[in-house]
Amino acid sequence: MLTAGIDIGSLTTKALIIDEDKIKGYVILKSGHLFEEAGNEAYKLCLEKCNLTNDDIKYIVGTGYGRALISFANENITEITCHARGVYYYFPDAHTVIDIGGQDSKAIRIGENGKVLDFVMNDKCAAGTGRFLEVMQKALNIETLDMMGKLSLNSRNPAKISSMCTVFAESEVISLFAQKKAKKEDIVAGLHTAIAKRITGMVNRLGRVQEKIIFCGGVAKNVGVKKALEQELGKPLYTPEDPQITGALGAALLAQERYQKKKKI
Amino acid sequence: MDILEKMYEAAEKLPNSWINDWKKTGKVLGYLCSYIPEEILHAAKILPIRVTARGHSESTLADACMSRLNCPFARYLLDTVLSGKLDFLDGVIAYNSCDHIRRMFDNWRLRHKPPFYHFLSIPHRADELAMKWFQGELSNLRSHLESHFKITISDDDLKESIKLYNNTYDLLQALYDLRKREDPPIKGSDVAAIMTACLSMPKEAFNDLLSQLLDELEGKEGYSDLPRIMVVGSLVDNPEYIKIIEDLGSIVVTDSHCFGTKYFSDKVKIEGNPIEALSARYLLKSPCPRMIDERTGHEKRLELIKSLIKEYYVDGVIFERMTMCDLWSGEIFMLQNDLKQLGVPTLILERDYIISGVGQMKTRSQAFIEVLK
Repeated sequence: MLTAGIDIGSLTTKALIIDEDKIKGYVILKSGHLFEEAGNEAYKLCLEKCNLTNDDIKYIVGTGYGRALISFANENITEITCHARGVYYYFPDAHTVIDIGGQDSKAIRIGENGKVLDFVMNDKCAAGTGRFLEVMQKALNIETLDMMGKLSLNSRNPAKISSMCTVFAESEVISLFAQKKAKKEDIVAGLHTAIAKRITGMVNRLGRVQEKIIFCGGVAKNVGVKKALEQELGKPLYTPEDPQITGALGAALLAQERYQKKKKI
Repeated sequence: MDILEKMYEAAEKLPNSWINDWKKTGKVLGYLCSYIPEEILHAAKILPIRVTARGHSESTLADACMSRLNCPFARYLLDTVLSGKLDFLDGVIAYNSCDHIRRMFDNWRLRHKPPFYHFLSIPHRADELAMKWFQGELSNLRSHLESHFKITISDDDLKESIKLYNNTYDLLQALYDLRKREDPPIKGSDVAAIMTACLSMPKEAFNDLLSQLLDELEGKEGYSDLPRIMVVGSLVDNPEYIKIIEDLGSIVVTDSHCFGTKYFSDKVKIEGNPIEALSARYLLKSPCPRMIDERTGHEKRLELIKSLIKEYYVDGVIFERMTMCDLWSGEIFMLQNDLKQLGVPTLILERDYIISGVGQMKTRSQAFIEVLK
C-alpha cells in the first residue's frame, strides 16, 4: 500500500512516498514564499520520480510549518511527532532526537514505537536554527551550508562569538572578518560551537541523556555543527542517511497507520 | 444579544459600554493586580476595573520610555495610557508586584498624571507582622479614597461589598465546577471572556448575567473526548489565546493565573473587622510568584496546582510564559520539574503580550496535544 508524507518547512519542502515500509522515492525543493505551491510541486515531482499517479496513493499526511496549507493531504500532524516516527524507522533504539530546521530547533524524547514522550523547542528567536547559519553563510560569502561545515573542520583556534542574536552575531562576524581578527574557518567553527551550546542547554531541559542521540533536520548535513554538538554533549551523534527527510518519512509512515485504522472502522 | 456575546463585548476593550454607562453618574478607578481588594473600592461606590492593554496593539509611545527587555504587558499597557485610551479613569491604584510594573507606574504618574493616584504597598510574606502592615495599608487606601472623593466608607458598607463579592466568587466557582464534568459544557476560551468581563463591569450586573448563564449551561451537552488542559501563568485577558490551543483539538478545563482561579478561589470572612478579613484573604489567597514565605511560596503554588489537576482531571499543563517575566520564568522551570516527576506532561509556551507568531504557537500546542492523545 502506498502513502505519502509532505513536509513543508520554512526553508525547504520535502515529499516522500513509501510502499508499506519501503521508501519509493523523495524530492527536496526550496519552499520559497508560496508554501502551497511548493507542496503541490514537490508532490507532483515525487509521483513522477516514482512513476506513480495520485490515484495510487491511499493516504497523505502533511507536516512542517506549512502543514495546514496542504489541501490535498488527508490530515496534518506536527513535525515533532513525524520526526520522532521517522527517526524510529532508522534507529528503533533511539532515545533522544535533535532536529535543527530552518526556523525551529527541537529536542525530542522518544518512547516505545517512536511515540513522543516530551519535547523542547527554541524560544521565538532564530538563534541556533538553520536560518541563523544561512545568514552567517551569506555574511562570510560561503557558497553552501555543506561547505561551511567542511571549512570549520580546518579550524585550529575557534573564534569566540559572544552574541547569539542573529542580527548582532552577523555584525560581530563581519567585524571579526573585516578587521582580520580571525580566519574564516575559525569564525565558522566559533559559530558552530555557539549553536551547539545553545542546543545542549535545550537538550538538558529534557533531563539527562543516557542513550542514543539522533541528529536530523537540514542542519544535520553540516558536519561542523555535528562535531561541535558531539563535543558539547560528550557523546557520538547518529545521523540517518538523509537527515533532511525524516519529517516527511515519519509523515508517510504515520499515513500508513492512519489508513489501516480508518479501514478497520 | 445572548449572554456570552455580552461577556465577549465587555471583555473586548476598554472602556466598554458598561463602563460608559457607569461614567454618566459614577467614578471609575483602575487597578492591575489580584492583590488589590476591589471590595474597598466598591464600598466607596466606585467601579473598580482591572486594566490591561486589551484591544490595543501598539507600543511605540511606550518604547520611548521602556526597553525591549521590559515586560511586554507593561509596555503595551503604558502605551495604552500614553495614547489617552484610559483617560476615562478617575484614577489608579499602583502597587509593587514586580519591577517592570513599578517602572510602568512611574511613567504613568510622571508623564500622564492620573487625577487620583494611590500606591498600595503589598508585603511579600503573609506572617503576622506583614498582616499588620497590610491592614495599615488598606486603612490608608480607605482614608485616601474618603478624603479625595469626599465620602465615608463605613464598616457596614465594607461588609455589604464583601457579601456581594463572595457571591461573585461562589458563582465563578460554580462555573468552574461545570468544567470538572467529563463533558465540560463550556470552552476555556469562553471562560476567558467571562473572567475578563467580570473584571470590566459592575459586579451586580455581572452576577446577574452569570447566574442566567449557569442555568443555561446546567443541562447542556458538553465537549467530550478531548485532551483536558490546564493553563498556568501570569494573565490571560484575551480569549483568542485559549481559542488557538482549543481549535487544535483540546479543551482548557482550568487554570492557575490571575484571570482565573487566583482571582476567585478564596472568600472573605464576613464576621469581625472587615479590614482584617480583607487583609487575611488577600495575603493568603492562591499566591502569585511574588510571594516568598513558606505559607505562600513555591510549595503552596505547587500544592494548589496539584489539587486542581486532580479535581479537573487535567491531562497536561501549558505554562504561558510572558517573555521577560522575572517572576514566572524561574517559577515555571521549578513547577515543570515537579510536575514531570509526577508524570504530568507539560509545555512552556512563550508569548508576547499581544498574540504574535501564531504559527510557532500552533506547532508547539498541536505537538503537545498529539503527545496527550
